[in-house]
Amino acid sequence: MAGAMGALKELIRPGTESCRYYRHRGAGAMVYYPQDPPAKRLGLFLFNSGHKYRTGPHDLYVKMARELCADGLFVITLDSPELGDGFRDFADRTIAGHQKRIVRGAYVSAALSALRYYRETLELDAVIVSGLCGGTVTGIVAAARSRLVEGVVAWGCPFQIPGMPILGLEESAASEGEAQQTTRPVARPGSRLKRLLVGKIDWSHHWARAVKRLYALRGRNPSFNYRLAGHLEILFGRRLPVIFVFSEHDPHYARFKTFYRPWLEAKRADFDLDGVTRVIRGTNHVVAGRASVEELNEIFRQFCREFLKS
Amino acid sequence: MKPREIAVPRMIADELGTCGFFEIEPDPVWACLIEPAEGADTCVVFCNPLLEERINAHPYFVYFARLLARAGISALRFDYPGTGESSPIQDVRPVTAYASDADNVIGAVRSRGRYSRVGVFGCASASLIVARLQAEIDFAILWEPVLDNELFARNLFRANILQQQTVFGEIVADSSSLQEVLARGGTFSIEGHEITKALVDSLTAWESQGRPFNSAVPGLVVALQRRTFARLEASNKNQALSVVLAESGGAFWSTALAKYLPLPLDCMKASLDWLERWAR
Repeated sequence: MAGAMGALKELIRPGTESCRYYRHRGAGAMVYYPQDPPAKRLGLFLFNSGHKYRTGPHDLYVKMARELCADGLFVITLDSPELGDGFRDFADRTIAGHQKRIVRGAYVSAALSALRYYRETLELDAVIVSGLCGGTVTGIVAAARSRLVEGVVAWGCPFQIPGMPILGLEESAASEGEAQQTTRPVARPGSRLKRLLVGKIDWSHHWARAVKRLYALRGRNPSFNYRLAGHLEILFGRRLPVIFVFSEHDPHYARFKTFYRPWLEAKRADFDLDGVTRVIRGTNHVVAGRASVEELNEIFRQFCREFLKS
Repeated sequence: MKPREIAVPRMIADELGTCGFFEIEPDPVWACLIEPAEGADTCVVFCNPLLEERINAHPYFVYFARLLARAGISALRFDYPGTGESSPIQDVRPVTAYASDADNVIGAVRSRGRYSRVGVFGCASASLIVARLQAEIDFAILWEPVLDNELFARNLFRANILQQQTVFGEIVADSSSLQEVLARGGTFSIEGHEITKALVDSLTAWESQGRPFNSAVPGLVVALQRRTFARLEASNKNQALSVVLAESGGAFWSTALAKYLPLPLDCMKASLDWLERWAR
């Protein structure tokens, strides 16, 4: 099929006056620029949440980015390498499998690479990381592993701490509707015999089950906990500004209050958790409501203002 | 249901395409064009579905666009103004407005792309938009199209009520209260998308089954539910329209979200086979 080539391509420009599309190591990102950048260039990285690509659920990241860049912030909405217009193909067969990989830090190295690249490219002086749910997990772990990050907004964070009752993967999913979907058994192609014969055995599944049994025998949390609480401790130790943002009806907020708060209080009695916890009205995990989105933007704005002052 | 095993081809870097802002009037729209290295004389313009379906469909659209490019066909994905990364941000608009946006893009592809054939592709609620296109198209491919627009409109209210039950544990505003909100010029939210009266009106005022179904536009409809398949077979007045039932079956989004890749690959294969036959 020989024919037209390139003519249409010329009509596609990488950016407009307020935003520009970048690609780093195959992963796409949209950068929203302030019209009048302040002396101290502050970048807010929003890592993609779960299986939604860089615009976030109901384009929430885009709505936030356009509001926040008007206040002088560089907002970078990032795709993980497998999502969006990225390079690799989606590796997971289910949402549950994808969530599991996120909380085990599958995208942290890509996030760190992106942080380095965009910090240099955009000449940022400081960086704050955030993202909804899985995006926050990636942000927290990246912040704990690297000094490139100066602040964290832990937003809808799916807490899992040592000793926490086994809740199963479905509770880590974003909403009740999604949770119902993730409780379906993970489908693997072919029969056991066929897989054995052709050598296509998913060893990670067997390994995970063996480790779970081992942990259960020792009376500990068999959920592999992804050491999120430990990573946060590193951030607290470094006196890095961290705030927690939850929706009032977010199931993760209930878990945060029930499990994380007493756990942290037992460890660090002097830490004012209430002082760094923000709760937005109504709605649910994905911040579905205009008033709540405005509240959320205000929280980010305030955090960035205080950050710049400090 | 036992999943089918389908070979998933690995993608290569040059299939990422050219992504950015497509310079059309009145405002540029976010778009991504994937072209085969050797050029193409056919281009498929991807029409996004409505609301959260657009975001959920994104991985499948990217994947299908790459498969098309591999088969020697150009693929252009774009976001309607006011959705995704195309500015400005606004509430959900009437279906006719999205169709008009798609017409603009198809027009630009026809005039500037130098393709001899330009077709459209859409899944789920995108069919509501494809059915209202005014621009000249050579073919249409639809996966599990919405056939009952009034039911779709009623389901918008149901979705909000279901959301209320999930969030508040009770129904705060029933269907008639939501109707009143819309009548007063307000909006209600479905997963964060603000539903307007204009959208609901544009759905309920729909009179015909739309072009792909009753005009002579050649096309393919991949039905995922037996009910859709039976209904399309019974009412299909378009001799050039092929209707196939995907083997996987089941409700589209729940199955797609639970299984991710296998289901769309089924539809993709049927679509590529049809395109190959049609081009011949």
